[in-house]
Amino acid sequence: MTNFNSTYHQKDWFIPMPLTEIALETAQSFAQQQPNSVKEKQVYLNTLAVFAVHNYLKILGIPSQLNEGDSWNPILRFADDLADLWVTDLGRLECRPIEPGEEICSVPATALLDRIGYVVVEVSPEEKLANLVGFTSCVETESLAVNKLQSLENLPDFLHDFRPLVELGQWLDDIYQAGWQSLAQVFASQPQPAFAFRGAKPDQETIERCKTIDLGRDGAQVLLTVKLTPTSPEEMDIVIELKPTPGESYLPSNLEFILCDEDGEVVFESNSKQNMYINFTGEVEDQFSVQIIADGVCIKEDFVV
Amino acid sequence: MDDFYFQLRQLIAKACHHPPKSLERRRIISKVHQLVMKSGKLWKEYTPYYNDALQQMWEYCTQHPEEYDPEVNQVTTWLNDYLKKRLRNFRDAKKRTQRRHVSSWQNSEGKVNNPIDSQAAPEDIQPTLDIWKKTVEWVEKDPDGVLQKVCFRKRPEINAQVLILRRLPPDEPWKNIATEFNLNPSEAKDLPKFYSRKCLPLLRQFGTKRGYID
Repeated sequence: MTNFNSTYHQKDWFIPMPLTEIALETAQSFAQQQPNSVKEKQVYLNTLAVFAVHNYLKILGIPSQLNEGDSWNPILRFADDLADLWVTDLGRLECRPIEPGEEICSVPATALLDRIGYVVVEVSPEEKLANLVGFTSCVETESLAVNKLQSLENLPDFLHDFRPLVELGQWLDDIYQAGWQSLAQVFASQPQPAFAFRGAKPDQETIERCKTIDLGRDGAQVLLTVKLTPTSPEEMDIVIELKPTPGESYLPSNLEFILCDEDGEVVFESNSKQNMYINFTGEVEDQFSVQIIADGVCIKEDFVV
Repeated sequence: MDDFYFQLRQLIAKACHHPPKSLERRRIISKVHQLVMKSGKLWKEYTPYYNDALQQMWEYCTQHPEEYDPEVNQVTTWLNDYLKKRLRNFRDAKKRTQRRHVSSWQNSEGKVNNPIDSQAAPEDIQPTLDIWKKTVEWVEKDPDGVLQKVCFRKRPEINAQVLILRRLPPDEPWKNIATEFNLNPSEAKDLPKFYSRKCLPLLRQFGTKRGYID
């Protein structure tokens, strides 16, 4: 198994990624949009770092989208030091450039949050080369010691095991973690979305989102839905329910639904198809997790209010 | 060295046994990439499109390990054959564009300056500087009042407009902004968070409305 404690040794498991013409041209054109030369250089290097990681993930067969990240947004680039890459279904992976030989990588204060991880990239545009030197899952200060990074050998495992913490408070600001869609989005492709919208008129105050959960066996899936209604600035009413996916009338059989508090204590447990539903009140900062178990496969989603 | 070829051959054989999107396949691919890139066994030439061809080779071969036949050649030969094929495609495409250029030059009957080339650059740069100007103008004017309405910790003087103007280049360091508004250490720590989560989305909306972003 993977040893996440192994650290990056000088030039040990760095990944050489030659910079493609298209990467260099894109970086050049993004840089040209900048009003001064300091910003120009920052944007140039950031774009190359993001492109190098994107190309590496492409080789591994891990999908990521350049234009989904803020680093590809011409307006946001003016207003922040951005080097994020959107990894499909996971979130934003920060790709921080350093100059060859640099031992400390600086991370902007705004990049300390909402990232799934940080990859450090040594960029040498003259040599048309980027070396991916290491990664880390969390950063607490604005500077990262390059020799403390994890080896990129572990990157496939890290991305495979990564489950984003679902921050429900952010939903009130219209920010949703990867994979959480509105019911309308999920049922859009369905000819008759009858049961999804049955019931009361959509309430302005209530936010409902759902995530399609793969149960891993024979393509079986369920829809994990979460409905929030803020009741005070500190509290919200939360409804969590498992529903069949679009086009299915029933939940798969042998399903177990468990809710745990932040200490991992089970507070609700059900294996009855009629009762895959729980309603409770959450306070700001409360953490809980939902587990869905089917034929021995356990899928866990972590939430914070 | 025999060890190197043997190891590669085994890795490719193993890759074929795992589905394309599986973790196992990705682990194996990362090892193959690492071994080969550091071996110096790949075909090298100094053409501007070499890196693009190399990237295409990797993307293709790592997704199609079953196309490797150990009976025919070594893994690196298989990779090099594909790489050379991609290089040929780039070379041919380049020749085709060159031919087009030549014919347009001949048609202009001896005129040395190509009218397309001399105009392309300024046209490219103009709209980009335009985005910068329009963005600054929008933040400064805040015509709908959306920026001034979003304040940090109920302090109307620290609003989205004030912060964005300070963070646009030449950007003021966060430390200085914290000092300017007399923030305590915990507030100073939260300010960039507030900026990222509450102010940047307003710029994102502006960009989408103006059609700068899809």
